Amino acid sequence: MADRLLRWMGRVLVGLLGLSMVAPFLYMLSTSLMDEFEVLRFPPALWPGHPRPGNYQAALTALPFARFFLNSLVFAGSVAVAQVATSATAAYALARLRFPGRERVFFTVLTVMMVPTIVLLIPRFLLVNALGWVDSYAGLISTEVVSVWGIFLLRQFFQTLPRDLEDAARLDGAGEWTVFRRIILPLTRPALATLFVFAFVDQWKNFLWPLIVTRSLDMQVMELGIASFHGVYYTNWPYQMAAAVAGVLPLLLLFLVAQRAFVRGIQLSGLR
Amino acid sequence: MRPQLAWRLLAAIAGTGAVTLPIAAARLATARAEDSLSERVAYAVAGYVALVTPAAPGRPGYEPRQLLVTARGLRTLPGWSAPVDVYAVRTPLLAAGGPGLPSATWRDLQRLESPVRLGAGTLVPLKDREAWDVVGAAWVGRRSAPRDRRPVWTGLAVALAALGGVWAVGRGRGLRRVTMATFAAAALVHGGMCAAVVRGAAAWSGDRALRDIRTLIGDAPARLPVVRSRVPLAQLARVVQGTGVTLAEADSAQGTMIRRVETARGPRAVAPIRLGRRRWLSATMVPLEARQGGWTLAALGLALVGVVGVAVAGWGAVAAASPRRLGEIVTAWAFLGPAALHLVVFSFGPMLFAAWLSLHEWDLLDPVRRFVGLRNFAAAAADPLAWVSLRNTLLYTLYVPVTMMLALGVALVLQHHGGLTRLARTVFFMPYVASVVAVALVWQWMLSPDFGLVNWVLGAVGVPAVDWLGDPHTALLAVMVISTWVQLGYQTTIFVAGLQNIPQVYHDAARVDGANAWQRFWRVTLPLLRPVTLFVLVTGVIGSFQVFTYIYVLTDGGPLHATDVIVYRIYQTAWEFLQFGHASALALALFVILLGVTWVQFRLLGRRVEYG
Repeated sequence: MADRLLRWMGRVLVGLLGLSMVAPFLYMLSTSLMDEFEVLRFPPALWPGHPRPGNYQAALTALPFARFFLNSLVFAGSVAVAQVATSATAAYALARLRFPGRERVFFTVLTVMMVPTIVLLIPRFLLVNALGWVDSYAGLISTEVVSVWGIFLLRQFFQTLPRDLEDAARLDGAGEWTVFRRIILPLTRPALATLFVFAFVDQWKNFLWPLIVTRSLDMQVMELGIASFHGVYYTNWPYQMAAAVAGVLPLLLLFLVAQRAFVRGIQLSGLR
Repeated sequence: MRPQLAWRLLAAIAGTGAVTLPIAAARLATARAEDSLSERVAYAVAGYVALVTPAAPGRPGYEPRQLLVTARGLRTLPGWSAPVDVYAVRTPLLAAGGPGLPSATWRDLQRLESPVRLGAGTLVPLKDREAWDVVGAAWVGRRSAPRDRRPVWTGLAVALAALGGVWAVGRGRGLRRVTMATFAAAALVHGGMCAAVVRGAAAWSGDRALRDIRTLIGDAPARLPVVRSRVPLAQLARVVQGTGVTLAEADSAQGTMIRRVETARGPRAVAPIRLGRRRWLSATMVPLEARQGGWTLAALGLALVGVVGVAVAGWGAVAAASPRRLGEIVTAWAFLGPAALHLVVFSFGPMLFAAWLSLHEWDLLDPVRRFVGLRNFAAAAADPLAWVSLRNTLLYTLYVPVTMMLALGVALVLQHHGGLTRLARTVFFMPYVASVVAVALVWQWMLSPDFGLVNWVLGAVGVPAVDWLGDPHTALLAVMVISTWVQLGYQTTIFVAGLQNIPQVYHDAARVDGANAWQRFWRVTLPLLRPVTLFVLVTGVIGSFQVFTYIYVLTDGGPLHATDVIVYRIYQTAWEFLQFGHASALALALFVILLGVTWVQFRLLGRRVEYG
């Protein structure tokens, strides 16, 4: 009896929590459609009297959001592709190929995970600055091309693959590159997809590095764009929420499409 | 054994490099210092000539005969050792009949007004008395710093050690280790010696320049076209223009020696100058040896390049003995290459650079990066704001365990609900994949004091309106609530996976033993979940120590520094105050604190869990 009561209480609480997870998104959406003066009411309006989709056009053209969106896409997209490529090759060497000092190399690589990003940020900025890459795609992308987490994740995954197929291919005279391309990569597609979506989302959400390394409006990414929009239209909540929806939507869509990849990534990294 | 021979040859080349490269670097650096000496003295000569030579009446330039007198006078100055010449327009005055300046050189001098290397010396523009037009040039020949032969001896030692290394190529591993260690030690000593030679030559050049400038300034007052009892400092300053020397009045001289003085802006070399019976000046400049940090590193690095080369050769000879293995190794490094190269350049390099930065004063504008030892750390420890930000960060971190409790609760409820779990997971995970700035904005809107949803909901329960983000007492709490909201789904997902990994038999066994739900949770679930808990805690705490975006967007560290966290402090120190050395020290301190906190967590929760 007490057990059942507890269980029901738990469900109700989880339900309420779940509601609180969705509510801010819904409120973001509804505010984005409101009149500029409708938001200055108490008790607050929950839904716009006359929805104004025009807010989006007005807000998203007030700053060059199309350009920001493109920049985010280029930045997050190329970093994700590069991370998948470098992680896959490195993880393959660390999981499958034999060379002296392999474990030592692996642990040396892992030490990077222990170092907080902010420690690396200052010297990386000075390096990029010395290379003359500040305020360019090269500056944005170059530092993020390798993910130690990605190497770790894929190495774990490679180690779970059976060796029979590879060995058969090697006996047939296939080189390591062929084995990697034709056998390992197809088998690891789910893990690669996981790494890709995580890298993409991480970089899309990356705020500090773009903040530091970009200067001009033309090089800003979505996150920076929304933040500077916040500074300009400080009191206009409908416009701000319209920009926020535009920032949230791409990632939420990606998440809904690739939900399994996300969950798998969390399980792979959380449970060794 | 031909391949062995090839590897030995490679080792020999590398060994030769270890001997010669640092010496070559030292030679180059010495030549640069000597050029710098010529350039400084040439500028001083140009300034001196302009100061003491009367202008030609009615046209720009100097009275030609007087110019010749001045130029001749240069060579008779007491203690003067520099080869020198003065050009009236393009004609040399002292090397009479010598070649005039090539027209291209003259054009460069006029247009760029910058020093030009000419023959074995340096040429700088000579301007008229008003410092308006270039009317000639001053040339000072290069003087050699006293040759220091010590690198020859250390070089010989390195050569011997390298011979040992070459001999050991292809032999036993222990032998290779011993010879390589000897070789590396010798190479380091050699590199250090070459660096010392560079510093010595630089110190000599700098002091020589100061002496020559002192001679010129000491001589100038007696030769001024208009004799004055007390020459103003501003007039004499013409002599030191372009030389990197500053003049100041001094009370009394402490001898005539050039002294090294440590100032707030770094080391300085100071030369006292006697002008008259009661008047002393001091000439101050950054000593040249203080600017040789790059050459020191270069000498040491070049010495070690040879060591690495010999080591690679030794290793290659072993690997070549089994070509299959060599092939495998090359393949492996080809696969590792891109990631390894990037990590070296953008992670390991920056780590060392960060450590170096933390010991130096560095801003983007001042080219002199002064070594300050641990002073950046001391400044950080003495800065009350640093401590405030540390306290705020630690307080903020408390949201992690709170979120974990919530997440575990949600995971426990969800674990048995199949389809509902998937839906719930989607819902709970959404904040984690949403744009951080957008999330911050919607929360700021909901937390707004006058029209906010949160105050309205709480008002319905009877809580008075609060300015959540504007009140120093609640701002950090508000940020923590937002973080919990964002992280809850992520942690829940991990806990659900962890719960599903616990074999059902344990629950069943406990049930058979008569344990109720409460006891099963405490005795079975929680202990078996410990590795997952540890993972969530450690990664969560590491993440929470690096919170930045919410603070930047929502509060700017305010109100009254109530939400000033470490990373925000570092950001401001570096990119708003441009104190990169100071910021690096703060960042390293954060790293050390984080290591300590992580270690404590492992000690508390890290015991190995035995299944059964």
